[in-house]
Amino acid sequence: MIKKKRKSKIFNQNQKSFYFQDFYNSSESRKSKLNIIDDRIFILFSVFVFLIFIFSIKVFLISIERPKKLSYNSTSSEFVPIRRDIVDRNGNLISSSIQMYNAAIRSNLVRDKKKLILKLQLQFPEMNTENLLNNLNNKKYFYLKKRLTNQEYKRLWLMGEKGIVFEPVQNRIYPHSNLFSHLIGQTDDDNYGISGVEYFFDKELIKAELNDIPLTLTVDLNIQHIINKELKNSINTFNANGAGALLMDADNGEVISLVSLPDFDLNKREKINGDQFTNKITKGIFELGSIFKTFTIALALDENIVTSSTIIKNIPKKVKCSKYEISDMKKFPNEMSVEEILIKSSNVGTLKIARMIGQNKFESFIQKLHLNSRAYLELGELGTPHSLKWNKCKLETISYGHGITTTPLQAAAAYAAMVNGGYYVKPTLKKNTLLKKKIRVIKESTSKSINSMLRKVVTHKDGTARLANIFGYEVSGKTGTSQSYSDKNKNINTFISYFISNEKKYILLIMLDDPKIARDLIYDYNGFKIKGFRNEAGWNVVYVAGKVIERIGPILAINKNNSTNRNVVKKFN
Amino acid sequence: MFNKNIYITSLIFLILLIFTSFIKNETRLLEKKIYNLNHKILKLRHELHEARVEYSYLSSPRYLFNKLSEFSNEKYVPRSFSEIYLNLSELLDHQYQKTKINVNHDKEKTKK
Repeated sequence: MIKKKRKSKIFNQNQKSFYFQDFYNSSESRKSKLNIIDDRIFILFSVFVFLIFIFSIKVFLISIERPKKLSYNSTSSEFVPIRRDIVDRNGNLISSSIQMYNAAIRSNLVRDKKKLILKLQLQFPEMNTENLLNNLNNKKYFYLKKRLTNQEYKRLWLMGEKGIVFEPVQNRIYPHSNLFSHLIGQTDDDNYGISGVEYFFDKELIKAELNDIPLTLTVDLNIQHIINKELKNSINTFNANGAGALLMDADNGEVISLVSLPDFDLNKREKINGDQFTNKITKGIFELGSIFKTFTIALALDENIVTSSTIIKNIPKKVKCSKYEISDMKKFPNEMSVEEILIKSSNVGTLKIARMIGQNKFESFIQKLHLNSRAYLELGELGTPHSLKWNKCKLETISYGHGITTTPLQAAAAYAAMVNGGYYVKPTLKKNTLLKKKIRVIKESTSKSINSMLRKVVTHKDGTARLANIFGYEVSGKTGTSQSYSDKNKNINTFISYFISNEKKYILLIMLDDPKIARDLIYDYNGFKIKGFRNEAGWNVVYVAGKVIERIGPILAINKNNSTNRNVVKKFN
Repeated sequence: MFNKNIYITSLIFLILLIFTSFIKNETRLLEKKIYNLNHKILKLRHELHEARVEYSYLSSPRYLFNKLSEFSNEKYVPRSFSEIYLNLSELLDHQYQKTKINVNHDKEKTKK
């Protein structure tokens, strides 16, 4: 420090030379130096600011960037169903998608073809080895087996063959196999619906945004099982070719059960050929016989042509109409009330009433009830009745259900209108809470009269449906025995019943295709035990309907809204 | 030469920038966690789905009836209409009436 001070005394740094004027102006030089430093700092600062600016822009861009939605469908280990589940009204699974594997062979990866065939033959003895060898020699890639079961997959996988490729695929599975075969339908290999509900709701079922919400149908699994079982028993008892049943809510048209027999296993994916596998309820077209008498009498009542107590006089034994001779199966008195005509099911009596109505009114009434137009339900398989030609005698024959074809579904829907207060409601399979459109077809008073008359068909000593009089359910209905439209030697017996369970009204249609006399069956008729000796609807379909109502009535009575299973207890007396 | 405000603004900006990058990093980690959890959820959902299918098969009426006939000799008959109570009050009324009858019956017995 001392040295420095000394130095400064000896040599002034600001002195340029000896001359006084050569002295620097110290303050100015400092300023200029500071300026230079400032400039440098400024440049450095600018560089930093610029870098930060670029960096901040990048950060800002990253910040505002929306996070990419993570794709959960991409990896094969994750399973997202392509089609939505289908459930019944209680949430029981009816149809669902599961992951399965197709086994394919990549021929060029197979080293020893003969060894592979031998191995496969050991595992799958039923496999056609000639075909396999042909494919191995001629095709680069071919399917060994589609939709492998778990065991098959494991057996193939354990073979450790490089050439066998497992393709994960989704497949529809039906846990109840045969139970809903005519209702649910099937899908193809690409998971597109090809029949039944799977076909009708195809677009809805593949909607990705609704994937978590199952499609809820109006059907009831337990009731469907009971009806299916009773119908199978009835086929055995009456040696029938087939059977069908439909249960629907009379007020809102909800189909609770739809059975058509014979049925088939949906999981087997076999090609179903043959008329017997037609859905008898929605696609089958039949002359349903005497059940049409209800419509004739309802129209006559609605038009105030007759009342239920009006006596129809001079009813002949036979009526000749064109080349046809119309008569009754039994001998009836020549004077009967309208009610008696329905209870006893008189063809000639109904014909006389139809003539009083006239063709035009009858024609428009049939249109109103949708009996001769294409059936409607959310299914792919729907029948269209034969078109009506109103030639001579048509009115007379249609009045008692001959010369007119319709599907059982349409007949049941028309019956619902007869008994629910006079409103036609479209039958439906889809459960929703929206109010359905109701169209009035008959007056409420007419509906009441029809209800009381149909009840007497079951309770009256001359009624044709006495076997269905099950205590507690106020069963009413009308029987129909007719010849098959395709084979005149075969009978189609139908019973459309209406019963009340827990204040709700239900329509139950039971149909048997060509039932025979059940000689071994013992009926409980009017308190007597009698063996089967007749073949009309009253002796087979009515009996079956009684059995069905007896079994499903308690289930329907338990309305979930106001009572639970806990409250259903057995009385001790 | 420099305004004090500029320094402060720059400082705040820098702090925010550091925070942003920190938050962004944390978000990225969280997203990873969410992705893994979603992955696990999907697996569980798949398992649940398969379990549901199995359950619906095992609890189907046909399967249960078959098992019942295999393992039990009991015959199940449908409950008749007269044995059903639709609500609790109906049941309680019936129980009350029944108790009343039994009490009267007991009284009569003791009198005798």
